[in-house]
Amino acid sequence: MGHGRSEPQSCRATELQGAGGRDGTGRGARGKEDGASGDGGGMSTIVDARGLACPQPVIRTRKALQAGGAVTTIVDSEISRQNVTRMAEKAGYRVLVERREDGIYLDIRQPETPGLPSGAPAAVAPAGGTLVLLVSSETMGRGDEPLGGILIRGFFHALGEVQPLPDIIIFLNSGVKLAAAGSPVLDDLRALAERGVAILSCGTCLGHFGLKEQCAVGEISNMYAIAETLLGAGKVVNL
Amino acid sequence: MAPEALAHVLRPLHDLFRADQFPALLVGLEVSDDAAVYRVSGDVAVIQTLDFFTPVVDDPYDYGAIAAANAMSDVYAMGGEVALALNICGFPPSLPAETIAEILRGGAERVLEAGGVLAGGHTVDDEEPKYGLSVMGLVHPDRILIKGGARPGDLLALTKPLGAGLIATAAKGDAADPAHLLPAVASMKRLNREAARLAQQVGVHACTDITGFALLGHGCEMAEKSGVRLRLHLDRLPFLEGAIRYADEWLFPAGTCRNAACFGSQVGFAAEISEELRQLLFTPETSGGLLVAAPPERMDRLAAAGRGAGQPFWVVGEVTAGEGIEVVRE
Amino acid sequence: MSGGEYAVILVHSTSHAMHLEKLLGRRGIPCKMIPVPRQISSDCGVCIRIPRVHAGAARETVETAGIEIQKIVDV
Repeated sequence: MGHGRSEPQSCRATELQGAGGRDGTGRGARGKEDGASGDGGGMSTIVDARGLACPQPVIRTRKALQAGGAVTTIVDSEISRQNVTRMAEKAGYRVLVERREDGIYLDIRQPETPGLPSGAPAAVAPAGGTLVLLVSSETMGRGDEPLGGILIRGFFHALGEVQPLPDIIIFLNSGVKLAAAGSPVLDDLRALAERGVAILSCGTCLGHFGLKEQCAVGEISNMYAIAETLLGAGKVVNL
Repeated sequence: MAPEALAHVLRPLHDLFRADQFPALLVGLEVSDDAAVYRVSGDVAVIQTLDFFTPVVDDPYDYGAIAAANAMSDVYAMGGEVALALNICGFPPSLPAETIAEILRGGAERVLEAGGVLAGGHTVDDEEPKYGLSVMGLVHPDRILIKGGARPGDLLALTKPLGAGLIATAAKGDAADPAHLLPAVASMKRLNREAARLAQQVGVHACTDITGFALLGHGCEMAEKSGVRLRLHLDRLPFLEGAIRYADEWLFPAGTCRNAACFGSQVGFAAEISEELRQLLFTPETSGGLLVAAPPERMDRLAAAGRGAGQPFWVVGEVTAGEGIEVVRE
Repeated sequence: MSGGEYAVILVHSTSHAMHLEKLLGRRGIPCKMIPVPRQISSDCGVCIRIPRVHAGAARETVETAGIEIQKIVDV
């Protein structure tokens, strides 16, 4: 049977509101009062849009933003989250999405430094010469081994997101373990290699740790090449 | 209700009424379309349809008029004339009588303009106002316009600009310029009567009206039922003033996402078409115009006749072999 | 950054981070310990990144195990 479906559904035009509409106090059976609240990051107007169908969450958020100040919108569906985030970002706001038990919280405010993309200012690439990263240990820093492991994992993850990229990474001593099979930073190293970073691991060191067959990224090098590279480099960063 | 969910719920009922047991039902079972059509004699078939919804605009008279025009639109989409209508009403007990009177007056005057008669109706109490019509129309059994007749080589035309649905949505959130709302309301109140009359007079291969499933949803239905592919030219689509701006501001109703989820896999867009415009084409229209498919010579005559009668026919694309819809830039 | 596909679980300390990483790994939730993205503030400098679709499962895991986390944020 041909069966139609009508639009729209739950939207209410103001003059045609039921009880409470005329005197302006009622907001209808759905949705809660939008109000201000102190939140961790300073005063923020709260828009509770849980239970409301689009475009209500978008529209109410928009109005609250136009009134000034930061806004925290709470939604309960992915579609609402996408739409509110989209609208706010297009209008130039920064949106932080936090998933809590009782809903998805969108923290919307002006970006800290308007005009600047979120992230550090781009570093200036060195004028000349290669940038070499020398990694002589599988951990970073001294004093606590597990912490050192966490730090170096964080470092290689961060390398993927910052500028400039090193031209060459050299692994020495226990550092060669990072280039071997089973290393926690293998994916990051492979991604760097794909972006053109040369990766060299000291053959002597690999042999010492019994990892000659397990080198999983880059090339196996020797002390002559490593020495040449270090001395001819424009800049050497020693981890 | 999401289109797939609705289809799921209706499926078990399909077998209750078998088409071969009801030969007088020309449209409605095996072949479904914008309305049901039932032959009562050799040269008369009855069109039956109904539609109602919650307020789309603030002004009660306009609301009534738009709801009525929307309900009657399905009669025109089948190529008929409106004969009789009944009110379908749900109002909160607290809604002032004058407001109700205005809504009904808006609806009644539309029915009058359609040449039909409003002969009664039914009202229930409801938290949220609802209004619309149950409509009976008449058409010659051999001249029923259906969605499924489009053929490769046909041209496609629209009889109303797009975007009224989005503008009304924006207006409800006080995000629309009144200067945009006025023409959108006027467009929604307009009957598809003249457009249907001309389509019948000149002769078209397929016809449907653009409402809740948006241009792309109803277009997909036409493509599927005709076994063809539609190519739409973005730059030839007529939009109401303001529609594109509210699309840029991302003020889409929930229906946009539903339509995109339901029909998205059948539609291809040229890479340069922005996300905002894609969403706009999936945005439900309220009381939209007709989408007709006709061979080029007839489309020329249709457009010319339309110009003479003050009823535009915007040629927006063509029908080709294949399936689904492609939206291109040039 | 609405176009991303990840969420990060912010924790109170590096030992929480290590514990959480093991726990999620056992549960089969793909995770990676990374420095906390610049635009987010957290008690601890590292966090656990997971695909967004696993956020619900991760929260359940965390609650069942009784691990205290700071919050889960989309990136």
